[in-house]
Amino acid sequence: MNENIILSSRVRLARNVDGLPFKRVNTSTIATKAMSALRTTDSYTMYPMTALRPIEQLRLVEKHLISKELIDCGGSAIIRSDNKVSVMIGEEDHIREQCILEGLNLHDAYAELRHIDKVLGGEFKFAFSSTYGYLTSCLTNVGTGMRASVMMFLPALSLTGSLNKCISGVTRLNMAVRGVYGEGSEAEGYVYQISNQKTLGISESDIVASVENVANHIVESEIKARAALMQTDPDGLKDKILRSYGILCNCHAISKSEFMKLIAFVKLGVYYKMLECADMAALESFIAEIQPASLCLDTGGMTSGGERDKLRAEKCYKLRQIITRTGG
Amino acid sequence: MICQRCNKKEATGYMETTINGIKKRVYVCPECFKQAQLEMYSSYDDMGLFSGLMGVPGAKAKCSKCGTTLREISDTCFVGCQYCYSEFGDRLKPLLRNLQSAQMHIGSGPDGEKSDEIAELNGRLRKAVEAEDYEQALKIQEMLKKLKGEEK
Repeated sequence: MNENIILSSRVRLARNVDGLPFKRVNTSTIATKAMSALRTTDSYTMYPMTALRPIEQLRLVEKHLISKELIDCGGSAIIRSDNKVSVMIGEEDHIREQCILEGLNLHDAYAELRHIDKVLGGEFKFAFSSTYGYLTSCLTNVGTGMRASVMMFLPALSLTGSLNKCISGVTRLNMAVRGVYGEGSEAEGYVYQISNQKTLGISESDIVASVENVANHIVESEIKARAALMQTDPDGLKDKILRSYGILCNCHAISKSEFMKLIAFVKLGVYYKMLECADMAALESFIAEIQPASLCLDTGGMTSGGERDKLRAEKCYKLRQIITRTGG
Repeated sequence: MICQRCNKKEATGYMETTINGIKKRVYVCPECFKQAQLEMYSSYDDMGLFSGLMGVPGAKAKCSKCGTTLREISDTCFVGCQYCYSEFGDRLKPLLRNLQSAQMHIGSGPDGEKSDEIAELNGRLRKAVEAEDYEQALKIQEMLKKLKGEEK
């Protein structure tokens, strides 16, 4: 039942081109070179931030393909056609390679990135020292330049109030926990990201293993919390889940924060088998479609908050196709 | 008493700072007091975290390639270029210890398979030492020496 708890796994590597300063450097040549190297291996598209509308930039952020910092820095993104691999040029470091895969799959994500890293390493000489490893702009990335993270859906730990205990345990293991949707650390939709903090004095395979270990441990705690939640008030919980589904399918206007709260209960309903979902990946991409920038783009431009809420409700009607009510 | 910051005006009060557990009292004039407060609040976020470097001689040292100072690095955690790492050398180590609790890379490198192997062996070496299996550790050390020897 991991798919319902661990949504995706992401690995990113930070690299810099040897001899160039980290800041105030024109990275467009790096982008062009990287693009021509990557193009020989697969189908990639380059998106210079300066050529995109703000709303198009935000959509890439919502899809976790680029960071907000890349927009501020005016860099470029090179994205593979399957949206699993993206390379950011001109962010905090000259080059940031990342791979996102569904479920708990850090091993494969890293294997995929090693290949990308080799291709780019053939094109550029990376700044590297035998003492400090890959040299990065920020001291928090030096060494492997690697950040491995898992996106986790943790409603029961949040609702039972055990999440803080869990977070403090995880941070003691040199891991960071933060909310995925919404600003800062506010965790909308009970989705959290767990990632390694240490990048120096630890090998890539040990980073992968340690993050997977912690993720598995949190999965166990979440499963226990889900059982406890059910045991404490089964009727109340079932009512809450079915009401959430009912509201989502029948509303006329709905804000993003209300949507995120209700969809979390719907996902819990799927876990408890009160609701049926044939394709969890379709559900996750449905949630991504409902985020503000994606909604605006679908309608061809900026819309006001009120208009967006109506649009969102309209889209929610589609939820019936992805999720159905079970007999029980 | 003369202000200990500008050494010009009359000091009317004092500020207390604690660096590495040592309390220090500085007598200042009203202007310098205001200025010091401003400086303190503008870099407030980083002060607590990296106070290990505050007041250390050499904090003003500049990287000859990009001009970034050690103080800037300790305040922001950002270096200006790759040469900052070699230019500041040992002086970066306390910062790295704070941030990473390590000072040495043991992962892979750009030269591909060989560095992967070294990384793998380093990992095994650490585990062997942790398990106090020194016989195994010695063997791994020998293998590492051989592998690194070939590199030269």
